[in-house]
Amino acid sequence: MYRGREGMWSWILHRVAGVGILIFLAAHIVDTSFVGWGPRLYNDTVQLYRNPIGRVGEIVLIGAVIFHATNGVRIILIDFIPRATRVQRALFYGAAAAFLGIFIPGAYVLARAIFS
Amino acid sequence: MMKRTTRPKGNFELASWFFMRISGALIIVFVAIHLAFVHFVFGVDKIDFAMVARRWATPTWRTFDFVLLTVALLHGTNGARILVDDYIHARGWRTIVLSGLYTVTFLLLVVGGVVMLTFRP
Repeated sequence: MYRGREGMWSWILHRVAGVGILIFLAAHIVDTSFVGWGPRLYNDTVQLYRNPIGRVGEIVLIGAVIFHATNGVRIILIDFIPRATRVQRALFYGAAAAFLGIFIPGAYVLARAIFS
Repeated sequence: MMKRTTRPKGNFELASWFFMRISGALIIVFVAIHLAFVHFVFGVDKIDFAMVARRWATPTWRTFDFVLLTVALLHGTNGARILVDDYIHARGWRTIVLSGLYTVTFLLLVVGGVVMLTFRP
């Protein structure tokens, strides 16, 4: 059974997170390229990331990146190590644990910075 | 057995599959370093022109950022191409969306790459 199981959800989330990261990457390349036009334009632009919406967006972004990375490692292991398919469910929960183990402390540090 | 009328041409999709895994592994290392430095050691409220100028004074960081920009953008564009192939079935629309995607990617690579490699504070 694939439909509705762990594999389907990680597959969907991988795509959603990937699209979100790509959109941010495009914006990030444009904002960084503003350094080529001098300090004023660049400093005014990155100011946008400092408002509360930008700060929450930063937490959502690292969540998407960490999920895409941990799930990506799971995919690489399953694709390149034939025996890994036999423990695919354990790998799914391992990836989920890795995601939480990295994301929760990271989100905590970034959230704390909003209030300091 | 039914006779096969069309055969897959070349190995582009195999190369794409391989590229996603290799570039993905590389991006994880680069993004981990990028996030640790920019978001945790510095933090969003300390990023400004002076900080970028200081970072890009070192050729290593400039090369690092250039590799991350290029590999991540190509990985993302190839991922988007796969989504377009999966979800947009009308031929005309698929051509339009893919052309737009490749054009934007090309422009981002040129703008981002040129600014990064020619930057002088």
